[in-house]
Amino acid sequence: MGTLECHGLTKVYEDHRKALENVTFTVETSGIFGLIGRNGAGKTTLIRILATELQPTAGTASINGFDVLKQEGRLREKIAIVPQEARVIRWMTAKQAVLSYLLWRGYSYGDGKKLADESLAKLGLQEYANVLTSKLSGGTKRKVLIAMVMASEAEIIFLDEPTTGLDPISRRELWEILRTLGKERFIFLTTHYLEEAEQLADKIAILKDGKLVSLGTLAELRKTAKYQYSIKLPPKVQVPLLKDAEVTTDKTGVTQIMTNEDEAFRLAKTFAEQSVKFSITPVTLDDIFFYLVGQKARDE
Amino acid sequence: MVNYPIVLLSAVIAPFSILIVITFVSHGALFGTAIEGGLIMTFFSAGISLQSDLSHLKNDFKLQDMIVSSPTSPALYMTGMTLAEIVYSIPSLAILLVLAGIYLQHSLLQIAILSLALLLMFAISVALGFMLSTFSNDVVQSYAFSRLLSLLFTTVPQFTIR
Repeated sequence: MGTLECHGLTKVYEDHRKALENVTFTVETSGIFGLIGRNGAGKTTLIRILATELQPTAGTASINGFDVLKQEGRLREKIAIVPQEARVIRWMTAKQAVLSYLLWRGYSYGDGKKLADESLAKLGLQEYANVLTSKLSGGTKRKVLIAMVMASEAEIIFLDEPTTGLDPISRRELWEILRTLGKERFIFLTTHYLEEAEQLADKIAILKDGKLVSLGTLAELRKTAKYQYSIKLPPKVQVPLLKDAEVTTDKTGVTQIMTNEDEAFRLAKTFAEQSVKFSITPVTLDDIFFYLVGQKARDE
Repeated sequence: MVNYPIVLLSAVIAPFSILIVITFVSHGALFGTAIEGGLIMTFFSAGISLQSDLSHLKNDFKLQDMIVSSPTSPALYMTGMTLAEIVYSIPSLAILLVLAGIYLQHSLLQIAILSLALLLMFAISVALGFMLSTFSNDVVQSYAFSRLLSLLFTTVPQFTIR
């Protein structure tokens, strides 16, 4: 097991847009790493730099000891990517798509065919092996893309928003596949579905406007968050005066109070005594994300 | 080609349509020129098709991004894509070469010059295809542009030969 290290990664595009600013972090290359952030936060730029597709303006990065800039040839033998908005070639069957990807990666025809069959079987796609991908559902097409990279020898797999646009059932099916895949290889996943990161990722990083604002396990993010508990109140309930809390009310009138442990349990006791209906939960990744990324995101 | 045989028909029809038109218009006098024109058209169209095909694969399927992040070298990628294009032209090339063997009474030197010219034409069209595909971000624009180039380089010169 190695590490993925980024030191001061900065990317400024030709139109002077700063996509990444001094991103520095180190994570172990095992399990699933989730990178979350709003649209335009710099997730795709970071993943493209790490996948050797894009050069940073400044900074360095290495994966399992291979420098992303200086040893990209060696690194490319160990990585694979499913880019954002990637689509499986529609005039090929599922098996042809997996096989052609393997042939590109240098496998022989015989080995490629065998690995393609194994990969499709692993993902439960045998029945679609000889079906044109243009005839497959959106979720199945996405699974074929995963089967392509999974069939290869790549130890590190970059998935840029792999479940965007899928229905909830297809998304959950893909989660199961990714969980299995994450036991064998390192998955670097970007998503803007917070539930997805919460469900899948062993470690989560949050990007905001190109800057890394937080990194850790969900438990660690909770600990470092200013508030650890969330209390929700139905509409028209009078909120008492609070010392250390963030109070927001959404369009339906539901009030959310994010506060620390002591204050949360004091409030819970008060509401219980007043027979006010309420719920109390540890802060979710949604809460942490909204708190870190800003109220504007919640309003949108 | 296996999944959509119509692609094969489409690849064959263009050079043969020009062959038939020139032969009929010249009452058979320019049949030899028409065969040579068909060969030029086949080679050039195969190369210039790379422009639209690469642009389609790059922009709509993100295949190029997947290939970049893999052990595939740029040279292997370019060679592979070029060979893939010529595969589509094999049927029309085979028929045209048979016709050339029967009806073109060329010396060995003339055959060598013609072969060199065809290969250079193909190399230029491949280079053009690769270069233009990097500038294109829309497949509709790409296909239109490649048809235009194909017309400029293959059809127009045939009507100005004599």
